[in-house]
Amino acid sequence: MRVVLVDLHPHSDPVTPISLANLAAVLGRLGHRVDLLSLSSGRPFSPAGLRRFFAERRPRLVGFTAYQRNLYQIRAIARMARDEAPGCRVLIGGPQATFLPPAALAALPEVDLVAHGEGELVIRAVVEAIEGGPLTTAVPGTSTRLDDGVWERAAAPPAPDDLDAYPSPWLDGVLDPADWDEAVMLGSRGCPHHCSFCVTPAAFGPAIRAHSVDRILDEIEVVARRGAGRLWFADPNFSYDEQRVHALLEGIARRELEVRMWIETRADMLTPELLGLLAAAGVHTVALGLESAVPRVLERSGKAIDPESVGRAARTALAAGLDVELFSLYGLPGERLGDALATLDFVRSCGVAIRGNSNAQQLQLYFGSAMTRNPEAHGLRPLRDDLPPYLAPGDEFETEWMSRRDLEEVRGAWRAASVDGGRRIVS
Amino acid sequence: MTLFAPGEPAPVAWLYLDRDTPDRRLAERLDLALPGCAWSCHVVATGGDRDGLLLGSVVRHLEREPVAVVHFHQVVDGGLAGAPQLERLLGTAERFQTEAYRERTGARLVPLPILEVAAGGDPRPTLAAAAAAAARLARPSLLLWDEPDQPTVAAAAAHGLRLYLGSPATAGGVVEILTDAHVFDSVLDRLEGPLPLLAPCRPHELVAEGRVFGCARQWRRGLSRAGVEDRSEPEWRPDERLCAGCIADTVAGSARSVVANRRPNEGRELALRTSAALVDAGSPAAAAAVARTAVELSVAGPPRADALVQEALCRLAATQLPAADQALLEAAAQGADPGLVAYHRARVQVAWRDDIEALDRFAEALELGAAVVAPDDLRLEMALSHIRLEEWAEARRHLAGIDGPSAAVAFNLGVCEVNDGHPERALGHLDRALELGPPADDLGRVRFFRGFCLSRLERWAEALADLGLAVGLETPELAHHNLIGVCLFKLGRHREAAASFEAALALDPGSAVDWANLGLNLERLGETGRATASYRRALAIDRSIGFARDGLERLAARPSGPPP
Ligand code: B12
Ligand code: SF4
Ligand code: SF4
Repeated sequence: MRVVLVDLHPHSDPVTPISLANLAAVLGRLGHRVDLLSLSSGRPFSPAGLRRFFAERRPRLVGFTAYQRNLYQIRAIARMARDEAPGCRVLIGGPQATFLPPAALAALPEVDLVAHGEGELVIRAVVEAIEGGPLTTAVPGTSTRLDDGVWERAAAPPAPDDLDAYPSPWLDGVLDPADWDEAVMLGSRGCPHHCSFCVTPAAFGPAIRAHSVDRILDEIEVVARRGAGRLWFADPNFSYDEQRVHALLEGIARRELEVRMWIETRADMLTPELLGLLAAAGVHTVALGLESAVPRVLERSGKAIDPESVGRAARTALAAGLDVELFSLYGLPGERLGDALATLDFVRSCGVAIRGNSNAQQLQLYFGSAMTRNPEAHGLRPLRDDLPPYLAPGDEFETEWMSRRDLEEVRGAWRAASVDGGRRIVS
Repeated sequence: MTLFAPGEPAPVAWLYLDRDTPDRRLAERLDLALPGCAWSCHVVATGGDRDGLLLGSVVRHLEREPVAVVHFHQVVDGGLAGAPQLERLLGTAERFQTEAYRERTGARLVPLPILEVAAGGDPRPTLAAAAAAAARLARPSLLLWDEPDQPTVAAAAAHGLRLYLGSPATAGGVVEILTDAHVFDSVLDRLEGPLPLLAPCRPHELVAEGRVFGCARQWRRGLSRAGVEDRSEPEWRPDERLCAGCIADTVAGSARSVVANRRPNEGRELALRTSAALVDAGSPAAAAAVARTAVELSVAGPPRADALVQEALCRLAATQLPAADQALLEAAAQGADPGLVAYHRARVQVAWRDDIEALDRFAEALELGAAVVAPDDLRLEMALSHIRLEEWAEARRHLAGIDGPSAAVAFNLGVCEVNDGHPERALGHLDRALELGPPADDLGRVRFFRGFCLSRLERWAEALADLGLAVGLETPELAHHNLIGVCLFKLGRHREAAASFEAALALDPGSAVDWANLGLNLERLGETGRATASYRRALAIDRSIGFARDGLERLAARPSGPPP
């Protein structure tokens, strides 16, 4: 079957569509013909060109990775696809789709299927269902608009514990490292923590499932040999297992892979031994989760971090010649204006440059997090009641502790302190 | 494999529409062209769009393709006469902004009115109109035909308005001003990015005089690609050979606009970098003009001094020697490193072939101690000047003062020694130079001089071997053929020797000594007729060549008949 998968970055250069590439690899193994499209503002396309593309390919299925940010454009492109390839079905997956509220389905007439479960399993089931003829029951792991127009939801099939069960887009040639200045890798899914602003635990479960270290090393090898050799991991919680991180870094050094890596680590892991491994493996930047410098605020969000140890780790890494990024958020429950500004001071006092990912971001309320499910219980007050049902409040809220003006003030303070105008790379 | 943009290469992102073509024709062209433009594109309408035909076409496009974003730049009269057009633009954009707000997405029609103040007009009401438009989420700018006064510049700064400046000298009118800004902005964007500075600007197409042009420069040259009625998709057809010159002209002419828009530092940086890129691209004269702009944009003191040195180096490369020297003097007045100035002034003198003056400047540089030029480099330069002046002892003295082993030093010592009549010593230096490994470009020279020394020592066969290598390494000149001919003659290989002198004469038919040498070899080969003719040619050019005269006499005295 002919399938087109679309990754869309309306506000940035293209980023390796690692999740969609995983799905393309699954379909490729099953003998389907897949086009993986990476649309972005960095590599402009024309509406006419896109229409011609759909008309020529005539896909029977078009899939998108949906974020809150790009849903509007996805809807427009979905309509194009339907115009040009009559009868094609539109499937959305990704963070915005996984927890899309049922009320939103009716407001998305251009969408036929919404994936809730693990993409690799869902895409296979959807393709099989479409090949099987009319859609009369919901496809497992999706909400499906049945041919009679009624939406029906079916539970997701159980996902494998060992992620190596899925084919690799790098090793199968779905992604060509030569296309990317920087490759995005995905080594694991899930997280055992319960930060109430995060969607990961709900999306992928509390158990961490991972690829074997050897498989990841094989992928890195391909990227190092064929591509620019720069890479980073999109794992929601890359450093969950200290031993594994060590094994990976050692493997890179052992295989003599020339890579430049950005990685996220936990503060308590930054020992002299790890620093040595990082240098040997070509790590140039380590990112540390801080979120807030105020323990009371962290506690309230379910975040088990000790800011002081993060600060120490940052200084140690900087002294060892690494670049350091600190992730932080403002507008968290319990956080007052002074707390938020204290976080900015804290980041500065660590000697970390306010740029890239060290630019703080306002807390975002997206579907799937505990805070979005019940904002009031967390002291958060969404400001708009006119949003379409497929959009979550995002950053349009106040908190019991900070008004809109306070939040603006914090944003302004960060922007003023920023050396790159506030450009974040990883969300 | 990932596909990035169906229909690559990059679609046109900017469409310029000039006011000299009827709006109706432009709107028809827009209807056809917009879907083939980049999804986020810019339409620049330089006419007033009095009846809203162009805006109407843009709206139709956005309704048909909601994925699209159009930045609509429209030149409107900045006075009351333009108020209705401005209102229509803002009102239409607001409709889309409401939807954008609802959907939490980017605005789809971005209004960028360019408010025009006619020559002699009062900019104040226009500034007020621009401020009001900015409050309605538009991004206005001003187009002025007079030099802006200080209050206007300050007011524009306060409201974040861009100023486009025209003058009676702007032959191409509004389109020229806006496309100059287009090229300038494109290059400015690249200051931090991987694209080479002199690559084509942002993809654009231009409709003017009822015709379609593949880029702004092509329009200036009158090279259109189709008529406005053309039904094909917009297509950006840069002719990359034009870009370096186009970018050079644009950046060189940007100072006034850069100052009015309060971006002198960025403008200066861009001019310096563009100038350097132009030197690398082999256009030093254009580079010099751009460097001059950097000078104009520099504050007095070290920044201006740096820019002046850059200008001087470009002028030197372009052999604009008086201007190069002048720029260096100005740089000195701005506090440039005096040693550096002296050094570069010396290089100017070298280019002028005035090695005596150059030596004074090099000496001055050595005494002052230029921060970025090593003393040994200065000593070498001085030695080279002495060599050109054939002052072998002085040259040797400077070379002897250079620390550490260097192939260049050893080679030049060899040159001095052989010219000073010490071929044996010279050979030692040249062997040392070979040992140290001279740069690939110099290897041929070393071999040549080695051959020369060996010939002086009458080691003809060895000399021939080195000269053969030299010919393989550098483009053979008269001296090569001549010396090879001499060696072959000495070895009794007259046929080959004659061929060598013929090769020398092919390069310079006026070389009397080579005619004489040819004659001698032909004589030995028994070709008396040709030998006589060669001797005669030699003497006709230079009567003083004794061995040619002797040869002629010998031949005249010979009994006729076949050679013995
Ligand atoms: C890494 C990352 C990125 C990377 C993406 C790398 C990648 N391809 O995964 C980059 C830097 C590109 C990125 C960008 C952004 N991100 Co982000 N990102 C993350 C992060 C940290 C991890 C993502 C992750 O878990 N990947 C693991 C893979 C396995 O998951 P996945 O991509 O969701 O894909 C699975 C399923 O969703 C599904 N699937 C995905 N696509 C499709 C498509 C089809 C057809 C199907 C059937 C299934 C399917 O299959 C996959 C396997 O099961 C999460 C935060 C977190 N802790 O989870 C935020 C997160 C996903 N990002 C978020 C946001 C907001 C953004 C940005 C808008 C940030 C910004 N300020 O610009 C941009 C949007 C980019 C765009 N396209 O417009 C939000 C999403 C919220 C939302 N609902 O929109 C998150 C949840 C963080 C948060 N703030 O809460 N991000
Ligand atoms: S924020 Fe990080 S640690 Fe917390 S739940 Fe999400 S992925 Fe896990
Ligand atoms: S010549 Fe090159 S830089 Fe100049 S307008 Fe044309 S494409 Fe742009």
